[in-house]
Amino acid sequence: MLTPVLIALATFGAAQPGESVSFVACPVAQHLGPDRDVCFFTEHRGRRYALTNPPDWGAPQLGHKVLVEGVVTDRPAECGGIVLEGRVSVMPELSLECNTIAPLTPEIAASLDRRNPRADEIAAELAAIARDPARSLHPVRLRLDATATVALGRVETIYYPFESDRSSGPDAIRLVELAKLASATQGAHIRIRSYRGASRLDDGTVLSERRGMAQQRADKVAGILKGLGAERATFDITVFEDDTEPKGREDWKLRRVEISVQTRRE
Amino acid sequence: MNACSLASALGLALALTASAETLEASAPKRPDLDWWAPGAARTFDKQMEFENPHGTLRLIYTGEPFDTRNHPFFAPIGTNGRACVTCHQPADGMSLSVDTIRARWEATEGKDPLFAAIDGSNCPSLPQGKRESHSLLLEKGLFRISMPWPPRAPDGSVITPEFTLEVVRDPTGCNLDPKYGLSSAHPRVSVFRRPRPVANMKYLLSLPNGVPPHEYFMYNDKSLLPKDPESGQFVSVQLMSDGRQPTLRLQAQEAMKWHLEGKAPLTEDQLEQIEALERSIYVAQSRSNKAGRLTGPGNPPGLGPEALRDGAPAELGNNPFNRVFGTFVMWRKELGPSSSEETRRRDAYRASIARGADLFFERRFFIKDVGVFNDKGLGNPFHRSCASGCHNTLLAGMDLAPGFMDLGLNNWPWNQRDDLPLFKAVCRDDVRPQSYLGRVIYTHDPGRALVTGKCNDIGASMTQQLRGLAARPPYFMSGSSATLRELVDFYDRRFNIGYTESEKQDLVNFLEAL
Repeated sequence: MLTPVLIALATFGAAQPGESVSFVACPVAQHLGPDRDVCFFTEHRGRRYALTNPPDWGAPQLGHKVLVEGVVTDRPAECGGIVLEGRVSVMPELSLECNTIAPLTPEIAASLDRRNPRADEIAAELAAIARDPARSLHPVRLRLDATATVALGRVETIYYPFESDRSSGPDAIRLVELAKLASATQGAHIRIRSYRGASRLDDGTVLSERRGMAQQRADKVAGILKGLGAERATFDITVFEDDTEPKGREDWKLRRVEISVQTRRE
Repeated sequence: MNACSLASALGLALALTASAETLEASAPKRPDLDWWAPGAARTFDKQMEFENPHGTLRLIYTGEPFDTRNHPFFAPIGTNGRACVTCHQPADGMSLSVDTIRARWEATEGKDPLFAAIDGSNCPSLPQGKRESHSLLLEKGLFRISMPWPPRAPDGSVITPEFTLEVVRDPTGCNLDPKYGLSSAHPRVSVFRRPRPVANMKYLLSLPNGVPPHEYFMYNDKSLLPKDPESGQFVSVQLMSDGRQPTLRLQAQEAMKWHLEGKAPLTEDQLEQIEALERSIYVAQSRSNKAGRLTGPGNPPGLGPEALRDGAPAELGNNPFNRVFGTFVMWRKELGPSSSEETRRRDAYRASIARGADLFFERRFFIKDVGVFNDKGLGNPFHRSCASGCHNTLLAGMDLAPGFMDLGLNNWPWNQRDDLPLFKAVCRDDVRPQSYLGRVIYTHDPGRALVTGKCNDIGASMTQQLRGLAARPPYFMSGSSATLRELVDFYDRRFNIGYTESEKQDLVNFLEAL
């Protein structure tokens, strides 16, 4: 993560927390040195925005434009840019002009936080391995927050990137838990509401997902739940393929599937 | 380093240079062929060693020794004289090297069942027995795989593909053949692939541990993993390059029908014997001509087949402790001036292997435009190393994800081959295009897309385990790299890594030791 030092480097214009932005642009990959992943940013109307998403929701890709839908936050700059609360979608069609990897500059290098909170722990384990090399073959598992709490009757909502039916890892874990809940519930009834989305950009353009996306998402979610063990549940699937009028603020929330597990009496 | 040790090191460097020149003049020769002929009476022992040009491969079998004569893996139970062992030779790490293939051609004048018309020639319609009719097998170690077009689901139903397929160039003649080609009465696509090693199977067959939810889901599109139709349990799709058969039993039945031209399916007893054997074999290089013994006290714990036998399968190893193949730190030591010349030479080579392990684990580069990889949420580019990018499974070295991907080996523009068929795939406008090639793709092998029918899967294949490499060139699914050096050069070129000459040699030495 870049420290606030970089705030001074970015051209922010007059971004105010709470301001909504929605636009399509090329992402730029920011090289952060030999031992780090890149981060992504984009520039739009004289401002530099960090491009971030929840885990496994889909990082930007060179070769493609991104749809940025977010609200300006007052969080410290990341990747040299304004941090948005929202979502970044990779547009499916090729845009070969989006092909920039910004070189690591001394300013960016100086701004990187080099502290490793696990440094002592790593050093201790490496010392233990030096004493007992076989220890290096003992599996080390990631510390993942791999749980999700679901409940009967509660609606779980999965949001999707533009024109995509890929759910993130954390959302997939919720599907696993929903399937477990359904298979453990006598007379389980699964209600699925699937929506095709649209997004109103800052210039007034409306981007609509292709027709059929809602059906595609619903079919995939239902298939996954059945495959995970909820095949005995009854399913009530409603598909909303007609655009919901996008407002230009948090339109990413229109692209969603709502799932609830109920008993048949509910 | 003091002056004395510097001088010593320089002296050694000169010695190594001289040694390298000598080696250049006499490249490693393959030892005498140890061919396991179908139906031969041999004992499959608990431990066997086989020489290869770089040292010795050790095979560990965790079952009880047996006479191979009537075992269904070794017996010619089909109609063409082949057995499973024909293409999965113990001396070749349970795969088949092109040197072995050529030696069998010379020894039998092309009459060995290995060269059966069905898939051991470029096309069954070609005149058999002529070298040129078997050129892909003899030159690249490639067998013909014939896939139905359009693709079929496991239940036999037709999958409507998201793309059309046109033959642009057909050097083998098989894709335009009136009997075997795309326009035949039963349209099929012929592609040409290497046989994968039948060893270290627990690493390929176990579902990923510790990376939820990927014990249920494919990483790329978060669709569910396939299930074993017999047990109903989820299965890894690591077994085959295109994931078309999910279990050893189904793969064996397919091989019986296709590669062995069997007229009847394998019996339950045969299936059980084959599966039990395949789950009990571990192979890895155990001795290096230049580094000496690779296993035992004082050596890296991840080398040799014992580590694979005893190791934990399906674990993510791309962390600073596991480093995928365990630590090599004991081989990073400085060369002692009092050691013998032979010891110093050995230790210098071991240090090179350790540097190669470090490069494999640490050197990041821009992994860019890899279909079904960069687009699975990771971002394009993904700035990672070999280990933290794709080859991350503890001890085995394939992608735990599991990872189908288009590295650029099948699709243009990265790998253009004159000897393979070339197809033009055109994807429909209403489907998601291939992420970095769009809707018009030129490919030598549509790969996973011949199973799924998906545009985005065109050219994608499953990453492979990295063990026993020294015994089984050429490399990659299409045999594109004759040597490990060519393999390293491909990556260097594909991702513009900029390895130095000595770094390339370190990597090659490291890979040879696995």
